[in-house]
Amino acid sequence: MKKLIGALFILLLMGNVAFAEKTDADAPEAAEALLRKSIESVFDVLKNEALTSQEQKEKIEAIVDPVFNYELIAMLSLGRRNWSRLDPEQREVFVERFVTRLKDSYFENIAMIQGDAETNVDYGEREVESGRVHIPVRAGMKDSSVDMRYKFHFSEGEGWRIYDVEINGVSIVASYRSQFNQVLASQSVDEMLEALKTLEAPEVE
Amino acid sequence: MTIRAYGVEFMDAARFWSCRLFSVDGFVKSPISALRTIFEESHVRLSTLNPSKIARALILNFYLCRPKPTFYEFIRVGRIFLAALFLTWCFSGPAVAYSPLESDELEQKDRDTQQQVDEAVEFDEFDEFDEFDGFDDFDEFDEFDEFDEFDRHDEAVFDPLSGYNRAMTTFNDRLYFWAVKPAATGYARITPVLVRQSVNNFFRNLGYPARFINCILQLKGEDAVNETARFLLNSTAGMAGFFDPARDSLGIEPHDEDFGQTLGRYGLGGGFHLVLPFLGPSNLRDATGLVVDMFMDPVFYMEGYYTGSISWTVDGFNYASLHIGEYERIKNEAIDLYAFLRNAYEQNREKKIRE
Repeated sequence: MKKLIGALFILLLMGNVAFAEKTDADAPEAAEALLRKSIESVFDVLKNEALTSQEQKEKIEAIVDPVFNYELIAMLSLGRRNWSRLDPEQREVFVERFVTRLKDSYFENIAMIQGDAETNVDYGEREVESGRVHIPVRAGMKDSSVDMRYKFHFSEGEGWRIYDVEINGVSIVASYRSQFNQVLASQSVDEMLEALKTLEAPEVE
Repeated sequence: MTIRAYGVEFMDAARFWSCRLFSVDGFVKSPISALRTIFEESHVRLSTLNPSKIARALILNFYLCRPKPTFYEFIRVGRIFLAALFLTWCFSGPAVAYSPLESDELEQKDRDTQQQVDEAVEFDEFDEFDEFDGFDDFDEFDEFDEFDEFDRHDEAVFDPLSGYNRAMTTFNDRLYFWAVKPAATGYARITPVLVRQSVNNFFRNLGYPARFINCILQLKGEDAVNETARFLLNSTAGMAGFFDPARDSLGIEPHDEDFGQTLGRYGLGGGFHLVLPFLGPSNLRDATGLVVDMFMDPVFYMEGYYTGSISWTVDGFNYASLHIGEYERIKNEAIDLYAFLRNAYEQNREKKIRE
C-alpha cells in the first residue's frame, strides 16, 4: 500500500513536472522574461561606446528581430479590407517595404534614448488574455517618462512574439491602419507602395 | 499662443463689459438698471422706445467706452493684417490634402479590384480539388479575426472639418518650420538646457490649480494629494517652482489632468476633430476644456493687459525649444501626416482619460 502511494506520488510529481515543462514556454512569465532580457541587452549595446553606430544597429537588430512578428504587424497595420485589395505579389512587396520603414523608425527612436544614460525601466502589471500578454513598461528619463505597452502573442514553434507596441497610448498598428485607410481611400495600391518606397530611407545627416 | 492672446483680449473685453453692465463698484445690479445707466450716459430717455435710437445709443456707448490702448491697437491691426496674409498664403498652397472618396465609391473600387483579382487568378481548379484545403497551413483571415482589437480604427472617422483641419495642419507645419523652429533653435543655442528646463518647471508649477481642480472633479483623491504635495514642495524648496525636487528626490510624478479629460471621464465623447492654430490637434471636447482650464490658470488673473498672452507665448516658445526634433521625426515617419496626428491624438487622449 505504501509502495502504491509512493508510486502514485512520484507519478503525480512527474506529471506535474511534465506539465510544468509543457506550459513553461507559453506561460506569460516567459514573455516578460523575454522582454526583460531583450531590453537589457539592447541597453547593454547602447551603453557600449566601443561600437560604431552601424555595429550597434546590427547588434540591436540581431536582438530585436526574433522578438517581433514583423509580418503580422505589417498585415494588421494594413487591415483586412486593404489587405484583400493586394495581390500576393503586392503583399510581399508591401511587407518588405513596411518592415524596412518600421525598423528605420525604431532605430531613430532608439538613437534618441542613446544619450540618456539615466533611463530606468519599470515593468507594470501584465495583462493576460488567451494566448496574449500585454506588458506595460515605463521608461523614466531625466525630465520625462514614456509609457510603453508591449503586446505579445504566442504561437507554436515561434514562441512569444510582439505584434504591437503602444507608446503613450498610441498603438503602432492602429496609427498605421488609420493612415493606410486614409491613403487608400484616394490612392491606388501601387501609388501607396510607391510612397512607402520613397520614404523608405530617411535622410541621414 | 496668439490665439490665446486673442482669447485674453476677448475675455478682457467680456469682463470689462460685464462689469459695466451688471455692477457698479462691485455691486451687482439688474440688467434693466444697467441699461438705464447706459441710456442716461448717452442722453437717451427710456421713454423713447425707438429701436434704432436705442441701438445707436448702445453702439455709441460701447464705442466710446471701449478700452483704449491706442498703441497696441495699432499693433493689433497690423497683426491681424499679417495673420490674414499668412492664412491666404497658407490656404493657397498645396495643402497636406487628399479628397477622400465617398464610401460607396470606395466600395465600387473594392469590387473592381476584387473582380480584377478574380479574373486574373484561375480559381476553378482550386475549387474543384478542394479536398486539400484543410492542409493550408494558415488562413491569413483568421489572424484578422483573432486580432480584432484594432478594427475600430477602420470605422470612418466623423471629421466634418477635414478640409479646414488639413489646411490648419499645413499652417501649423509652416509656422513651425518657418518661425518657431529657427527662433527656438537660436534661443536654445544661447540658453542652457538647465535654464530652459527650469522655466518649463516654473510654468508647469503654475498649472497646479487646474490640475488640482480636475483631479478633484474626477474624484482622484490620491493624485490630488500628490499634486498638492508637489506644489507645496516645489514652490518652496524648488525656488518658486523653478526646480522639481518632488520628482527628482521623492519621485512624485506629475499628473497631467485637464478639463477635457474630466469631461471624458464622465462619458463625454471627443466630438469632431479640430486642429487649432498654434496649438495643434484637438477636438470639440478638449478645445472646450482648454477654455475652461484658462480660467483656472493664475496667469489669467494677473494685472496688465498683455501679461497672460506674453506669459503663454513665452511658455509655448520655451517648451518648443526643449522639444526640437520630435515633430520632425513624426513627420518623417508618417505616411499621411494629418491622419496620423488625428489618430495619435485621439488614442493618446483615450489613454489619459482611462488612467
